[in-house]
Amino acid sequence: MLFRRSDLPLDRDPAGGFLPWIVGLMVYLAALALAGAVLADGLVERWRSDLADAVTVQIMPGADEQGAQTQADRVEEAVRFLAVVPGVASAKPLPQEDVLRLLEPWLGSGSIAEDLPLPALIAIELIPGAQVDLADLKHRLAEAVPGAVLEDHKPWLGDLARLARGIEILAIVTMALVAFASVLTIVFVSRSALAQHQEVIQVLSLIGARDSYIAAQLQAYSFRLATLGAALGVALALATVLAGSALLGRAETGLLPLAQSFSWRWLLLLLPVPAAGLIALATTRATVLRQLRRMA
Amino acid sequence: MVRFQRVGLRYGNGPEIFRDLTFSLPPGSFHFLVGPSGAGKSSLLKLLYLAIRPSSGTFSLLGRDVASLDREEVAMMRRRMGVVFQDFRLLDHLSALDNVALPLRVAGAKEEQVRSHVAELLAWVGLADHIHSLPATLSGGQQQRVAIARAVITRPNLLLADEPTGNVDDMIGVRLMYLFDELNKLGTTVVIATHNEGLVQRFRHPQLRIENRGVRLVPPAARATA
Repeated sequence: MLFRRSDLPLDRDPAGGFLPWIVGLMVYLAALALAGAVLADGLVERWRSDLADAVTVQIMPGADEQGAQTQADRVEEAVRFLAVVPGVASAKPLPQEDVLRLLEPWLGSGSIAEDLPLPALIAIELIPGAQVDLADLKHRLAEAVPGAVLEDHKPWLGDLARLARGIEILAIVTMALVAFASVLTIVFVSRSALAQHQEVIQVLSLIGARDSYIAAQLQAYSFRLATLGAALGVALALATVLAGSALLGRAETGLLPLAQSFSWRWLLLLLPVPAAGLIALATTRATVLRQLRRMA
Repeated sequence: MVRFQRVGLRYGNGPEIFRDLTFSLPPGSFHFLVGPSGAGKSSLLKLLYLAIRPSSGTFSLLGRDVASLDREEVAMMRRRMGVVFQDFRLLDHLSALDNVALPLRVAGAKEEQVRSHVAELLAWVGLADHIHSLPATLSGGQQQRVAIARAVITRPNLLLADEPTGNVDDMIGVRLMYLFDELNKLGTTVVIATHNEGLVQRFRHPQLRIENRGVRLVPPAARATA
């Protein structure tokens, strides 16, 4: 399949010289889309595992008409209520310092926050796999404890998952388009190589070369160029992703924990290299065999 | 080996080149192909090396009806033939050695055998010092000898040559004729198209003379007649 020595002076082809760059660029874009999909997928998975069994209860700050019952009383009451609900593993009030820390990016660390009426938070952990009717629980809790609002993360996670799936589909469509464009490019390059070397190919055929022998030479050539181009594109895409994550990492957004989210999925980014090579090989072979039959 | 039965040839709607061509070449024969320029020597050779097909009639080669061959079989048949083209058709980017090795490599021969065989043959045709030269650096006569070496390297069953002694001086021409004779003695059927009356006279093989869109078999040149 791969020749050490070529009977065709292919290295001087002008059209072939562009092939690695074209393939490289296209693969770069496809790999970025793929990186986006892998990233989104990883994030959804992480958040899901963190949040799926977690529910939060907010106890709204007390208004005057609720009398002597303080916010702290109502937190205690809610915790007592929740502790006996089947399926609930634990219900812990979040210390007010933690709530303040969560709000710090928006409110700053000054004393303003302390003066503001803030909701108290209770973190509930569900027993994994337990079937808890959260809508019903929310209703009953609101009746039992005034100002208690149960927040379920699932709807929000669902939106996020849909977004991730959208990015995935986008990546797949991009890959398909890139593959298609690569096929067209390679058909063009193969035909131009055939035309350019028609005389040599004729001689090869006259001295007994099979069509498949001639195809093998061109095949090896476009396989080499496409693989080179794809490797280039993937390397560039990896560099871009790493640079991007370094920048984001410096900004300390905990949202994009790239370094921690390494998984086997990232190996998908290498996929375009063998894919481009195989596509080039098959496309060139088919093109050459068809053209040779036509030439006869 | 070669059998033509009422073969006609024309290119597209062009003029008829051959009509009712009927002759056969037995295995191991040696013929000169002669005739005036433009009479169709090259066309007949092209028919023989399967570059063109007859417009009518039957042509069988090495025991097979040519019309029935698919591309794969044509390739296999060409491996049993050697052709020396008038314009050599060497591959410019390959050395003399690689050019001559081509038919062996195309047929999938082992590389170690290829090198020794080819070097030996190139030495025999007097190009021992030019094994690694590119065709462009060789003289016309040297290129011709590379082309001949490429045609005979596989010890073909059928050797076709178009003016193989056209570019070499008489001494080398005679030496090449001895090479063809040698192959012929080993069983190769040889057809040589030539203008060189001197060779025809000297080597006294039967002639295929092209005239009037047909071929006439002429016995070996007698010493006294032309």
